[in-house]
Amino acid sequence: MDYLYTEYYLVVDLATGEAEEVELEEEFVQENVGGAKLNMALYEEHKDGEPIVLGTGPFTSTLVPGGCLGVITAKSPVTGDVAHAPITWNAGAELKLSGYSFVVIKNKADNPTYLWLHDEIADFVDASALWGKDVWETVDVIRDEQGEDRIQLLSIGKAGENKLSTAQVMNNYWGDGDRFGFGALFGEKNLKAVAVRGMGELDIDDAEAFIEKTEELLGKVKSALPGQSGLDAIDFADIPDDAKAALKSQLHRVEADFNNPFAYKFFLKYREDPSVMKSTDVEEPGVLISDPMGLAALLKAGVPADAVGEVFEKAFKLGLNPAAVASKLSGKDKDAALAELDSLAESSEAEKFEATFSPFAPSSDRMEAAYIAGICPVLASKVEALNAEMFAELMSIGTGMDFDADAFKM
Amino acid sequence: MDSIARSQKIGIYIGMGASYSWIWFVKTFDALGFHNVYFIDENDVCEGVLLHFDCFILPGGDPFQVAEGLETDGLAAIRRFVEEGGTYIGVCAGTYLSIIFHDDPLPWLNFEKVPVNNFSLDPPEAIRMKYKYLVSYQDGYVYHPVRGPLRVTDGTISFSAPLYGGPPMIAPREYIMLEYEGFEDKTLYLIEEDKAFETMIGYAAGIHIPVGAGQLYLFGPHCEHPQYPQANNYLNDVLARITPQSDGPGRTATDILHGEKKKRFLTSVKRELSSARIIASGMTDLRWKIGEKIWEDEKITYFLTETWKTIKQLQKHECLPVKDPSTLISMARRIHVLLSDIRTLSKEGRDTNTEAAELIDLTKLLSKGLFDCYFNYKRRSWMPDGKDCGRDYSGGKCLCMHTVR
Amino acid sequence: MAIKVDPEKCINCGACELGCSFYRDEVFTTMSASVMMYREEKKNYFGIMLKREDDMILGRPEGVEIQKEGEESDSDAGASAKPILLREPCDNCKNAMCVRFCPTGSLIEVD
Repeated sequence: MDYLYTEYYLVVDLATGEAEEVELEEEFVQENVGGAKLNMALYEEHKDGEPIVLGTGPFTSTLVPGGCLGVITAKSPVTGDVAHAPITWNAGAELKLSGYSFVVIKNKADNPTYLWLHDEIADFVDASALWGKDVWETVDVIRDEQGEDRIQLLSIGKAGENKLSTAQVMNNYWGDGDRFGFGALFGEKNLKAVAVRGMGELDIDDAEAFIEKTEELLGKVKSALPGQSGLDAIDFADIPDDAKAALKSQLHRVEADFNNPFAYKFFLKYREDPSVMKSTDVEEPGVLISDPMGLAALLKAGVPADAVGEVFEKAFKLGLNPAAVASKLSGKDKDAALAELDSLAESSEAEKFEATFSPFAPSSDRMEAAYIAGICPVLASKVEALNAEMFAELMSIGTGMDFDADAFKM
Repeated sequence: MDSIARSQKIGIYIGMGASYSWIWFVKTFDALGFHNVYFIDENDVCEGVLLHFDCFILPGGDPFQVAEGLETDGLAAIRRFVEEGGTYIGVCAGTYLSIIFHDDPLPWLNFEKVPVNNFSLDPPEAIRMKYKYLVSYQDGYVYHPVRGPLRVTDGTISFSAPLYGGPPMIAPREYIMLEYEGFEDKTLYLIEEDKAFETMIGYAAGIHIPVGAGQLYLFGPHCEHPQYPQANNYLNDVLARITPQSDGPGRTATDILHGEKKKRFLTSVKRELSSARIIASGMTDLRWKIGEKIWEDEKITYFLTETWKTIKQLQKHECLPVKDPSTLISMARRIHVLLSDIRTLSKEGRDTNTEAAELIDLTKLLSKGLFDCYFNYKRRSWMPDGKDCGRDYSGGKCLCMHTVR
Repeated sequence: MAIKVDPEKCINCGACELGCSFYRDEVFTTMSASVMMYREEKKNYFGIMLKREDDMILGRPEGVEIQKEGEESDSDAGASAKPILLREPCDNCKNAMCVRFCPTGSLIEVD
């Protein structure tokens, strides 16, 4: 594919340690567009290998506002159906720029492995020494091993290693939108992590028109989000006012996904005065609240607001999905909740919990289109202009091919 | 200039003491259509390889180290090359190395007495970059008044070219080709502007000296810098004056790689280079003093980036005429390991000069190996008998240079 | 035109890197920009660096510092300006893409 995507996608066989580059054909993109939809086509094609498909949309890593999204497609251990989980933050963007817009990961590795994708290179790296390490240690070790802090990691912690359906695929140090137990699938495959670093580039067919349209769209996005960010912006999650007040006392800065104007993620500092702006010796001052619905679930279960940050941190380190384990923490104080998380990451039993297509915001046509386009679903839920018609127009300009709004439906 | 006129055999010195600026020559020569470009180190010079060239280029770097690397034999071979009709182009270090600018000169090439106006026993004080504005030479100092772009003129046209330490020369009128004409908005002053003006402006920036049957073209500024097209055109005109008459050093490839073999080779190098590039782009604030020259980590990254771009170009070629592919893979692997070690050691606050010296050397050699592949490929139709050899490889027709001497 | 940096408004989205890289190469990449994000992710410490012709603007959360080429930073913060030295310096282009695509006004054009 000449435009908006990389030339190849990758098919990885963990059992044989082979990685095959396959040309991403225009016809295939014309038919399946990208994101969750194209992932689905690849899933079907490689079904026998029980694949995990990592994919990006046409606008991932572009200037289209919210163009951060990657999607994980696999059969969910929670629902038994094929499902799509969003990858926000920077991993989707770095994946595409690593040279592979899509990666199909088949079969099971004999030994713990991590996949290292960079500059059209796919390396299988022995992860025996990482097995048993928590998510934060894993991120630090891999970044140190490969030598750069901009490397993005999708990894699992103890919960994933123990193949629990409450396990999540983590995004660097933080949780993300995996409500489908894909962390358990990583564990099943002996896949500790996928590390990506994108130093490549993407071409655009009619670059000038694409930029003009994108800038116009950015204007609409900004006017739909007047000054909204962080805790005040996550009105789609049910956060009680008193909890908000308590959280504000720990609030440090808001932060955004790759090219996402909507900074709905925010950092709680509880091991350091949140007003401290310098980088200090406190190595782990707090946690990024990257999962508003998880926050709502923990608060609803009665986790005290001033302890919720530390509970998040613990869940993230263990690779647990906070929303999936929230009910188990009901009525527990901080120490008891933290101890319970340790035990939940070991336990092979998990309660049934609700797994939804879109964990961040209510499902809608726009959300579906965003999952195909590679646009942050949280942003898409907020901005009407981010819709299938707009995506079809932009993709036609960017690729020189014809797409209509129906293309952005599953 | 037509393509025949561009058939001069050009040797660029990349041995001990050469800085990364030789890559500028590579890029500019490629853009100008000069593809008979070869890379030479001190051993090649000593072994007499210059006899096969029309033109020898000594680019920027550290003249003390270049002289040390070439030793007496290498320096003598260069002198002989020029006296017997060769053209020597010196830039910056290559210029200092070839002229006599002190009453008691170090034993360098010392072709001709050409004083420089930036030598002083009592140099002006630096206002920035104190660590690199001054180099000690015998009883005094060579100082660098400015860095970056400035204007030069040949009396008719005036253009911009960047200066990174090259001298303002005092030469007889008949030798002068270019003079420093003025500074630009983007000129970076390392000493006070008025003193910089006094030192530089009106003095020679480029000179031409006949020596025996040959000649010297010596420049302060880097006319070869690919971002200065007018300066590149000037360089093009200088090269046009050189009559192509040498046969070139002959075949530099040992293997012609096609299909899967080519892909495997390039992927192996790419894997290591990519990892190296990733580490290098995350390196912070490292600086090494190797010889008299200060090296910063950005220069390593520059090498890696340019080498990376070359690999991307090589991927597009039908075949790859390459010398010792397995050695190139080992070099790439070692570069990755060295960068990893430098990163770890520097985090621990330990000295990394030894590793950096090896790294700089290896990045240079790997770049050379890959640029050789590139020019080998480009040259195929230029060879006296360089037609398609007609051999078949995996169903594809071989387009390369089996028939080269 | 020159660029002014207000690091307090930065949300670390990197649109500036994409925008400036596009201006230079007409492709989407983060690698050829004169402006670069830096981040100590675990600490939520992030900001912007802008390479200019003879210095660098370090937009740190605690304030803006101008660092001359080849001189040590006077701050002991971990973030370093070094990698960006490889990049092309800002050419003070008009109607700069980094500014146009910065969603928060963290980068603005000044005369």
